[in-house]
Amino acid sequence: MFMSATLTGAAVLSALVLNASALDARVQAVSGQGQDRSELLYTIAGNRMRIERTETNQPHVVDIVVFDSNAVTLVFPQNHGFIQFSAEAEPSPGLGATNSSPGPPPGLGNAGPFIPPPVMEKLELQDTGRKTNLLGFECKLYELKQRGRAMEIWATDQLPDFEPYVENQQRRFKPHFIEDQWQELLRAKKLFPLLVKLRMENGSERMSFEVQSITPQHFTEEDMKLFAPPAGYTRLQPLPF
Amino acid sequence: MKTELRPIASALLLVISSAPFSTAFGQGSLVPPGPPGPTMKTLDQIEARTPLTNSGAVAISQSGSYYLTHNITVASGDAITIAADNVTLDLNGFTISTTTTTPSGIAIDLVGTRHSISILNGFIQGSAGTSNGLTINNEFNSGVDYSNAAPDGARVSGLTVNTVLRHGVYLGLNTSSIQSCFVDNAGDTGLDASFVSDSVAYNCGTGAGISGRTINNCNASSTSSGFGIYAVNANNSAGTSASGVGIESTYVNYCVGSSATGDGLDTATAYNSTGGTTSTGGANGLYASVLACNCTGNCAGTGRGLYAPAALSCVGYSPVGNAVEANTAQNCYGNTYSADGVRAKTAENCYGYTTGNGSGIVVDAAAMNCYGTSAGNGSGITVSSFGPNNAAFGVAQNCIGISSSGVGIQAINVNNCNGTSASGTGISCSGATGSAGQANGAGSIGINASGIVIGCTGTAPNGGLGLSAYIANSSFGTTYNSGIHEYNMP
Repeated sequence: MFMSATLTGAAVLSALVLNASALDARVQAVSGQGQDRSELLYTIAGNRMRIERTETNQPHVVDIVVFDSNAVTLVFPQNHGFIQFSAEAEPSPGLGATNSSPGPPPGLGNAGPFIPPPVMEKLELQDTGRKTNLLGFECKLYELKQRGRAMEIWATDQLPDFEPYVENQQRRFKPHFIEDQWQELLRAKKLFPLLVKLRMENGSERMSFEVQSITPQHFTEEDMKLFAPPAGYTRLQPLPF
Repeated sequence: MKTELRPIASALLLVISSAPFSTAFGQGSLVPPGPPGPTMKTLDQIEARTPLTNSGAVAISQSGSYYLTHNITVASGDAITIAADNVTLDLNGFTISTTTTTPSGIAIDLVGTRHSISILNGFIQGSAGTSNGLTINNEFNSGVDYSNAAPDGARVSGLTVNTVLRHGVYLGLNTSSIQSCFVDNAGDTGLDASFVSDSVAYNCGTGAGISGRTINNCNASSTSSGFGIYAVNANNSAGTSASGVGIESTYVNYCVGSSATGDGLDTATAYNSTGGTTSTGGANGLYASVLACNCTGNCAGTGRGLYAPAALSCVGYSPVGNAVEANTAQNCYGNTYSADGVRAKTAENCYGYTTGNGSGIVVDAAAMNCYGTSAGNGSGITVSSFGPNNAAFGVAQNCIGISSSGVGIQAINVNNCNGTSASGTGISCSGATGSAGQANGAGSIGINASGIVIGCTGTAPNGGLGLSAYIANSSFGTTYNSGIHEYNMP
């Protein structure tokens, strides 16, 4: 559906109400998995976060998150559109073992027979008690383990909440894997990761995330345009179910 | 003979020749009363149709059947608006286009909340050009779309849409259907309806190539982060995406999903389907949250070839990730370079193969009738699990495990198995029955059991230790460890 709710810059700015922030900053990070490598820029101002990829090989989706309302906006530069949805407040099915039967797959509703999926192992952040200082921030070492894979996460509670970078609306069939869940687990604990490594049973590295710099910023009113879709962009309807 | 027949023949000729003439002469004039009257019904008698003779914008505000007699071109805004129910619009093979460079209009706009709309047989055409080095498109915002609420009973058939800013045909998920349509180059979603069949949508954008509740016999692609196909049920269809998921559908049957950097196919339940990704990162070939049956998953990076809690008769391939990963794997084949061929809680009738340092088959609880091979230092088959109170209970039964430099088979209990290693241990276990272990490396062990072996054979032809156990009963080893307790031994 084509929605005509085109936002104007003035309307956006008037809607922005900033909370006092522990740290307004730009955070540069590198995420790698296999041979893929992403350069990520987190811009944090008050209760808002903008996440974008800085590679210029193609137009990339920009994420804008408002922490108070859990509202997530995905801005698509390809077609001058954006969609909005709420970030999931409850943990995904694989995040914790549960005795309650999960519901039917999304989109199915209550119609038809349904075999509930098996519950995966419970994933929990384990505080190892180890501490260090990374980029001037006190970090604790957390661990996640699943089927022989082990993830080490150095994270701090001195930065705003962490948000995963996503390129499209939330997936319906959320993966149970450790590499897909660690970001939600950190968000639930209000931790921001500075160094993450996932290794397989044979010790090979499968995934990494590393913050390279944290630069405190003072944002002007003009800068706050970064936290809303550009003027003239059209709101699109997210895909259903 | 001739003289006797002549009177009878003469009598018959008289009867035959005289009888018909008495009735033929009673028919009257042979001159027809006039030409035959027309029996064909006119088009208006069959279906009253209203011609739309405009070559500019058209507004339909009354029910009825309409058809174009010209191409329609507008300078801006909508080309055709439909603000009435029970409307059939036949484009009659003509084309709708716009000259605007600020695409805000809709080619065919369903205004308000519409019911029973049919749109048939025509073209919606945009164009891409350049001006002063900038790409300028003369295009609509969408081809067919609604501006208020999703229509009920809307049907679009035989429509081709080329180059629109956002949607090709977007009807929403009320009782709507799209058949035999073609979309090329839509910036958001190509085709959207509750039922889509026999259609194609290429080069779509951030939404999906095709989205709907049920999608049959379709082919769709997204050139960005959108889904190729996004549905509840997808049958006999193919979806491709550049950086999104090829097909995301609750149920898929006879489908192929592929992606350059995302998952090939994400689903709850997949039958007879294939998912593939060329991502060198962590994307998965096929991910099923409940079941995959007769499926194939293929990836090119660290992701899984195929994942499903229940994987039945599936094939997976991954160079760096696990080829098949499941809770229960039956009749599966997994092939990988450096991870595990099949990784599951239980595996039955499976074949796992790795050319690197992973293991052929790794299971948490039990492997039955399996064959695992590792060309590196991983094991052919590994079964390792711990139950309550750390009581180990992993079992390998009727299995064959082969490793180059790792262990052929390692499990807590090994029954009726055969484990071989070129330079490592043939079988490593707590207890074994009816099994054979062979270690070909110097100093390696054929069977290394910390507990009891019964009816087993351990061989080490190149100077290693044939059988090492605490208790051996009715077993044979080329050599034995010191301190072994032997019963009924040769």
